[in-house]
Amino acid sequence: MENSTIRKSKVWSPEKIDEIQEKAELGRYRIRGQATKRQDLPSFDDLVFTPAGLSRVALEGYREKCDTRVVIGEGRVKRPLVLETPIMVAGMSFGAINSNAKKALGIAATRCGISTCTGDGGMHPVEREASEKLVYQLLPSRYGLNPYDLKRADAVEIVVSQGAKPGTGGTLLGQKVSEEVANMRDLPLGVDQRSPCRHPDWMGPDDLGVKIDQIRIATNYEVPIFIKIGAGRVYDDTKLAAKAGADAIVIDGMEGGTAASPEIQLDHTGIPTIAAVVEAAEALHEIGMKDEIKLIIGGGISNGADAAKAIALGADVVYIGTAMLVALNCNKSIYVEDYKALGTEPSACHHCHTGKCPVGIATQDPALMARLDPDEAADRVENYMNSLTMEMQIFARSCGKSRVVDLDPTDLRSLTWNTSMITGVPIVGMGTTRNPYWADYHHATGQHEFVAK
Amino acid sequence: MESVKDQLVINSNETSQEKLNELIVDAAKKGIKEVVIKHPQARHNLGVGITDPIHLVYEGDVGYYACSMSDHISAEVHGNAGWAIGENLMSGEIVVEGNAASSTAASMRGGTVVVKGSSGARTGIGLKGGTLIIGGNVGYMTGFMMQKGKMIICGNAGKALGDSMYAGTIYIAGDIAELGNGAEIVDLPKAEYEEIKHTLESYGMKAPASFKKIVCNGLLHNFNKKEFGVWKTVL
Amino acid sequence: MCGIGGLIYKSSVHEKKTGEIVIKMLESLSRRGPDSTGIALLHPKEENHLYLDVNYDKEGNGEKVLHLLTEFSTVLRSSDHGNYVRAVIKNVEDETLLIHAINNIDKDVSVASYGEQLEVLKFLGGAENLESQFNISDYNGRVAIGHTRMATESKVDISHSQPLSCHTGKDLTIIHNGHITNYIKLRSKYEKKGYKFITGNDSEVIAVYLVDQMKAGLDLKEAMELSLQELGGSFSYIAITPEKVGLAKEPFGMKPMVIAETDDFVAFASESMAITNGFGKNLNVFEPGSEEVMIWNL
Repeated sequence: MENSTIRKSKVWSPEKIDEIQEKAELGRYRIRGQATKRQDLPSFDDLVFTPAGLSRVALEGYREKCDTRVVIGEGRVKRPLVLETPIMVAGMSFGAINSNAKKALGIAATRCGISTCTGDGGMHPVEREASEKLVYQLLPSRYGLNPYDLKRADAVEIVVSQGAKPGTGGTLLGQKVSEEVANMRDLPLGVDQRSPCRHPDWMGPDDLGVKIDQIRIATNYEVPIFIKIGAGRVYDDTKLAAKAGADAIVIDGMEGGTAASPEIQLDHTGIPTIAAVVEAAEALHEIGMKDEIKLIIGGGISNGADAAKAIALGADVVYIGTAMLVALNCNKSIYVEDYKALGTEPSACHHCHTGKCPVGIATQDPALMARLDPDEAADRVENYMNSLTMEMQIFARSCGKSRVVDLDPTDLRSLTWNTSMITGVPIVGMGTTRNPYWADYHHATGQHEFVAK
Repeated sequence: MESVKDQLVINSNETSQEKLNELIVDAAKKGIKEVVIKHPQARHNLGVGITDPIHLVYEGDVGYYACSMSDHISAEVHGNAGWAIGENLMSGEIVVEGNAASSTAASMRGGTVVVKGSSGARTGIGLKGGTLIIGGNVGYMTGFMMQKGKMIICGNAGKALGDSMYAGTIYIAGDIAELGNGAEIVDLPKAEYEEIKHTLESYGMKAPASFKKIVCNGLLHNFNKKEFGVWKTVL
Repeated sequence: MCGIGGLIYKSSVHEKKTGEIVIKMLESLSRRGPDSTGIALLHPKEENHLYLDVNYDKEGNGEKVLHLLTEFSTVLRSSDHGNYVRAVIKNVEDETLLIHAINNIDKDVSVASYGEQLEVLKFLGGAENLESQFNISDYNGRVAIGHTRMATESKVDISHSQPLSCHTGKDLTIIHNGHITNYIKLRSKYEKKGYKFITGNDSEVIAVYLVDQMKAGLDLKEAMELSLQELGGSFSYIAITPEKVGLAKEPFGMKPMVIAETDDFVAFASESMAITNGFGKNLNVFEPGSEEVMIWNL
């Protein structure tokens, strides 16, 4: 038992030692793609549904209708955005991912009656063609922004910040700034692009009101306007976005993905999606605009359970980015040698920033791009989207609801005190009052007395 | 059949913002050459998102985002302009007789914006093309993250001039409070001075006797150890 | 995040309509600040007069304030506006005692401003509410500076509305657009020094900061110049005293402010639309630079 004397420190863990030594070598912080790898975040997994039994009656799967449709901007704009299911493909730029990936997502979304989003870097013609409902992002960088694409969009999303890295601008390392990307963004070839952290022409919610008016005029009051904010000061930000005049507010939790971000920021900024949705919904309720303004929640949503729980807590729609890429093939166990060359392996890859994506998604290299057949990939994404819808319907029907949007917080129970405190959803076992019959017996202490002690 | 008139006069006092823009868009579509906007009252978002050729005459001050997000337009502002005039202009020409507030011609992609007076903070921020001419002074962070195009400034500049610029050229006649990170002053070839002089004269502006030329020094182009040394100077 | 609109006449012989013009300015800034509207008015100095303005929330506390005033002073004029008391009083023996007594009536009662020449009036909603409560249009004095508020982080109520003053700062009030990001640290520092904070609004710390610096011997201009370094965040703010009005913009130029100056007056506003609307015509406006303090002597 020679090794028993080797003890690893939690303070100076192997990861921390590695990190320090990497910085000592690089002279800067680490940059990488994907999302935070923290293991300790509260998640939707800590909630469970409380389906119908006798007090309520469940609906029959496959047979009894369970509506999933959501309309954004109804009664507010001429051409509201109709989503057949409460899912939207989150903004991922052409540049971060390539046109094959964009095309596949667009085809799948069109088949499922939902939207995709341009991300930073302009509207790629391939994407506009493939995607019937395309959300056009207006970011601080304003790359590729022009009035023609603005008028061609089905919604406009003013991006304040992103869940993965709120408070800072986008990053795209030089190796991905190919000729096409550079042209679309008006950048010199191969520079490390760091977008500004705030918009060039408005600085606060007061100016933002004027900006929204401008976009409304430029788009002839036709399409809804969203404001997307990385989850931070969610409660105040949501109220201010509503006051500024948004038709929908996108709150992006800290689990949100990115193609490139300082790693330290992924792990240490923002608040988790489950907390963000609660704060945002509460803010909209308080100002009486919960029904009028739609709440879109993103950040780490991976299955129908996450989505249905987010909706029960107050979201109208979920934004899904990373999981769509995974459906495309991201982190799949193919081209394993190439993963190894990057120093990683399938299911642990976060090398989007290098532009050497082994499965041909987050790369502009033609040879790697050829590994992603957009038509085949579209089928996979479509299947994934459909299964998400079916999963959401399972929960709605089992709670006796004929519309997914009718899920509410009382359909949930929390497994942990943590999540109970965050969401206000009672912990499991709280179905009755906390005054059990034996509480007044001399032999026992009631929970309320116990807590009071 | 009503023949297309050359000129349309709109009294902004009597027209809602929504209607006013609609009238301009319609006029441009119909091929009307000029729209005169009386009493613009420094209202915001006048003439936004116009993509057909038209000449706009504003007889007074305009507010935020005048002539923004437009293509092929020309405009005269007989007064002052608010924040972000000519923001994201694609092509055309805007001439402001008075001063402009902040973020003038932010993210402009083409065309020419001329401000005969001074302009505030973030003038020409994120410029992606075209020419921006300022007769007076400019404020803090002018030309920040400029990507393409050129700026001609006849007066002085505030701090952080040309900070983090990727490319493009800034010509400035007056004093610079502080040059931005990643920007450097280089020699101005005589031919370029003549070109500036010619450009200014074409707008009835007198060219100052000399200009400094500012370009990107490339030190911020890629993440590497060098960069921290550059940053340190402002940290 | 807010709108600011103000007018300063350079001499006491002037065109008048001060209140009317500024109310019109504030009307066109309602989009920037729909939550509440406030104004600071400068009155000519009169022997022994004190302008006193009090916020309160709970019904009935207005009467208590009025009652207290009669105990401490001769009330020349007073009116109760539902959650705001406006008064002009005379013969106050000990001002500090009076302010203390008012602030102690109840948790929701606090002195918004007091001064021999400065009056601060505020109300929830837009400029039309302020006008209907206080007839601002009747004011023809030399200085009127108003504010429309869009609450960002602190409460929407009258006490959190602007202008804001420091409870020991007679005849000094401020109007701020932006956010003071080192508010928490500054507040704790000033509380240690004995200053009392009436609100949770970060802007309040500007008034306290200026009062503290001026007590230490700086004049308004010096104090405001120092504030550019010591206050964090984004701001354009105005400070008003009976002798001077100052305008400060932080180094980042993030908050708008345009100025129009003639031989007769100086007008400033967050948006030039407000100036055009106030005067019914275009004036030559310009945006001051960042990291700048401008002072007008009265």
